[in-house]
Amino acid sequence: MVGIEEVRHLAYLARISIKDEELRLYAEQMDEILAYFNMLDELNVSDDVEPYRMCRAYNEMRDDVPVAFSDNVLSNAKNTKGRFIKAPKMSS
Amino acid sequence: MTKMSSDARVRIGLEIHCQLTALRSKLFCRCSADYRGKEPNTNVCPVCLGMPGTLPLLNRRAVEYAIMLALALNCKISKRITFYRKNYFYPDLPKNFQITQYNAYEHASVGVDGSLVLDDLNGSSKTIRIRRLQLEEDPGRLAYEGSIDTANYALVDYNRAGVALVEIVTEPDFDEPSEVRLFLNRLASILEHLGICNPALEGAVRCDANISIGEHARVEVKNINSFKDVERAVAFEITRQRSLASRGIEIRGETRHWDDARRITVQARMKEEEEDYRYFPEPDIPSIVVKEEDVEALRARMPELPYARVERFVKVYSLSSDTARILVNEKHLADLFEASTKYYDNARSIANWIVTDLKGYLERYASYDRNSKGDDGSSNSIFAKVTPRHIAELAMLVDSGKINRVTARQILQNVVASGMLPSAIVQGMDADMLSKKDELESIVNRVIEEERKAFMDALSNEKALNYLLGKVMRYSNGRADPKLALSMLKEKVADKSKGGK
Ligand SMILES: [Zn+2]
Repeated sequence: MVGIEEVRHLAYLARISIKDEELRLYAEQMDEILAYFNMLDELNVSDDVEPYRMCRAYNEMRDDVPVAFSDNVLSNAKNTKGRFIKAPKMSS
Repeated sequence: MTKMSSDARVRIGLEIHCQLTALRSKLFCRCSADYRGKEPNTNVCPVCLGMPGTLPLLNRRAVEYAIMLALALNCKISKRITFYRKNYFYPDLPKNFQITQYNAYEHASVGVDGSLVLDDLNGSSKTIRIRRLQLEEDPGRLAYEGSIDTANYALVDYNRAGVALVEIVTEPDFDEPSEVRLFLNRLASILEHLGICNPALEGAVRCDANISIGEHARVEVKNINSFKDVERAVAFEITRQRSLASRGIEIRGETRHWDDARRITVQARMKEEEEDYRYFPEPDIPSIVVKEEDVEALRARMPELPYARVERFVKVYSLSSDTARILVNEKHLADLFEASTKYYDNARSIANWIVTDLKGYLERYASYDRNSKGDDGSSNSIFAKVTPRHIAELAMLVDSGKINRVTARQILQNVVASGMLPSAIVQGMDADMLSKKDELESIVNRVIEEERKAFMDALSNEKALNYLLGKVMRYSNGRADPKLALSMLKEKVADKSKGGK
């Protein structure tokens, strides 16, 4: 069971503020998601399938050759100052 | 001596981040790895900005460099290298996760269980164990208008985001801050010899430290941006913790930041714990299968490493191991030494010259690089002028009795300023040394006139004084007596400071 305090902590980690009355709702929804994942645990998988490897390919790499990207990426940023992107100040 | 808890054993561990500055592109995208000095957010692409739908593609050479460094540090190389996502929200991280490595289910990081031997601890030696070595991406950089305390928002520059870092984590095997310094010097020399990271570049090597005393909680110190400051930060933290322990105050396990302006550690306000990072396997990067023969092929490609080079210097050139270590600890000195022996075959004499006179000169003056013109002050410009031939000639002149050591040191100063060969300078000294005060006076006045700012700096900064002296030597084509010129400059500076502004 996901507790109210766990939801509060997750909200802190995600740097979002949620209202007290929403805490219970989110806790219930997370419980549902976890219950679904628990179903996966019941699956019988053989030992040579390692569940934490999600991709069959391996050794896909590229050469160390730089190529500049020329589009103006700042056009996607709402808040800019000169060439900088403005972001909320976080206490360190 | 009574055994108080504050006398208990100190344990120090390090977490070092080295940028692979020899790479040309970033770790997971094709942006240039050379982000320094560029306009903000011009060295970026959809991948390193974390745009939806983009896919990272790993830089093969980054993996090779990381394996080479792991081998140099005696690590075991993982058979399967995989990447993980470390989740946290901070503006310098565009994706809200950092692609890094993690050894949760099996050894997935490039290297594990390594070691580095400190064999120059006042005659004794000690092994520092390396827990793991991993590849990860550098975050972007934050700037603030005015100071961080008064600014209303952060300014983000992602040019650095995605640059390849190797993280090296040691076991808490250090007992003293001085061992930390030795370790970092040795590591820097290994990086230079491998040619994968230039530690002299600003921000290329950064360090976090964890410190605990006795059974007390462990404290992490982050944000230490220079080698010199690591020793300072660790020493400060030991004193702080001892003082708390001796007064019976609990030492909290926490993260602190090094404040290099105030030279203290301060409590960090973010309270993420290791489990809060919710590491999970990076599904977009296929794992790297490393075969034994791949590792051996890389080992064969590795250049001579510091330990082997010290041994060779002792064997081939009959140097003492101390002298050999001092040379090899700074690769450029070792290179200069070997090249100089081609011009003069008295290797011990040359080594002696570099280790005592040249190194002493560099330590006193090399960091004054006021105009960033690379002029006179920086060690780069010194090495541009002091070539192997210069060193060989100086050693030869002293050995043959033509000049004494004091004169030789003055000639070195002259070489740095003028780039002339020592033999030519000695001839010039015999012919017409600019020794008369009034002849020098006009040159000194001209330099003070042209270098107003350095002159004002010289009131409080000895390195600025040396910068001025370099100019005098240059304008006199190396004919001025450096001693006399220096005393005249000092006189002018003294007059100025007496006379006020
Ligand atoms: Zn990029």
